[in-house]
Amino acid sequence: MASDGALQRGAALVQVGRYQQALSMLASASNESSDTWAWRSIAHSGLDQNDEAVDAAQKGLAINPEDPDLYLCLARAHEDTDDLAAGERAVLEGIRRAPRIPQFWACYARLCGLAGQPDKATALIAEAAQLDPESVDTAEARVLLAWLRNDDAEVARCSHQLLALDPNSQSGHAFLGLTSALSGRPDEAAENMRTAVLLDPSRTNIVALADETRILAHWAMWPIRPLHWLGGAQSWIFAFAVAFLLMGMGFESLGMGILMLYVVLAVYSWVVPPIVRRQIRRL
Amino acid sequence: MDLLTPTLQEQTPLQTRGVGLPWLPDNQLYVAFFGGVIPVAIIAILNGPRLGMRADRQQMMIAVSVVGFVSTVALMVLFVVVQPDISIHPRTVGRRIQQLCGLLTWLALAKLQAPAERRYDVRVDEEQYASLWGPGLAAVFGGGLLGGLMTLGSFRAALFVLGIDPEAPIGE
Repeated sequence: MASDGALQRGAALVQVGRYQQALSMLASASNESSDTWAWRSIAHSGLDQNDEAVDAAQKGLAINPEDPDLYLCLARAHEDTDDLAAGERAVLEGIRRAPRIPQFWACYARLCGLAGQPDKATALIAEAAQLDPESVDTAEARVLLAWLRNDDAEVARCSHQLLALDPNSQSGHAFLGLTSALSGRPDEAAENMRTAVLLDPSRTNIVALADETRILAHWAMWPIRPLHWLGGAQSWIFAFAVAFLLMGMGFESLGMGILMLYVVLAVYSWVVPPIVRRQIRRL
Repeated sequence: MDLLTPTLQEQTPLQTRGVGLPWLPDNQLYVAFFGGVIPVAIIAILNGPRLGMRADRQQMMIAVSVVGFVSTVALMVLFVVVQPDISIHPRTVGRRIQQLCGLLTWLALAKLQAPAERRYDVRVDEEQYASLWGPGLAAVFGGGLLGGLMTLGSFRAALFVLGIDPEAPIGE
């Protein structure tokens, strides 16, 4: 009974994102229960301990090879270790046992998207949506696929849909933040990233992205916002094209002035962000 | 489409392929500007497997590079044929044409690399890219020399075919 209680408390801690405490609690849960290993696998994934997550899911499957949840844990853990082939094997085993669980189809869609198979990924998403149009996993997979297709407008649209289904979706806020940053709205980006971090501060990659968006939103970055808005390479082409065009039309000093301004801004963009980064990290 | 037929069994984790880290497509701009079409094409085509690009996309990059190279020669020939009344030295015009075509080729190559770059960023937890300083400089000088010779040879051959004086002072 005591170990049952530990399993329940461990599961509850995983669900609120307190993965380290969950693992401590699950350490006293029964190792004979496949559920214990499923929750351990999820907790390890939450801490970016991906090899341990794979190991825990495999130990669970050794106890109960028919548990679909463990196949899902295993597939996701393999996705996190970038082993798409093993992820596919796990997800197909899961679908064979429980074909009506949309999470499997959404997970398979993510794997295909990451492998550069967007047509199959889209068809899998449609299958998942047919099983459950309100599935958060399907909405998350849709956002990821739009991101991988480089379709930022679609990413924003799908992120809003995801947040309508689950206002606490970390990936929904993070992807909205990324699209805001890419379309030259650093304040909005920083706000979305801050929310994403508050939802689960253990995700180091989200925290790092949030730091970068805070830097972009800092007042000292105002002069170089046009460079970020256009993109480094595009701003380079734009500045040189305008300058050479003006020089060709006889406005030599104006063209030269634009080139000089660009060079000053470029130097500013090398010098100031590291200073702002240091200042933000000190806070 | 049979959705349950495995299609990912040939996939290997990007970091264990032993092909080296990729270069950022944005940074290839400088190679295009200083070297022209051939150097940026070499770097982008070598970058394809590093980013884990699909084979058809890699073939498209080769096709785009060929179009970029042919456009460079075609624009230089056109300049000689039209002979616009401008006061810029023909060699400078040749150089600018090479730069312009290099930049346009880079734009297309970067666009082709963009989805693979995003996949790489998601699959590899921390963004890991190799520095383009050494390979970029090697491409600008080595590839630039090769590209210059190829452009000049093709340019003179095109003029010869068109029956125009091959000693036209451009692109040298």
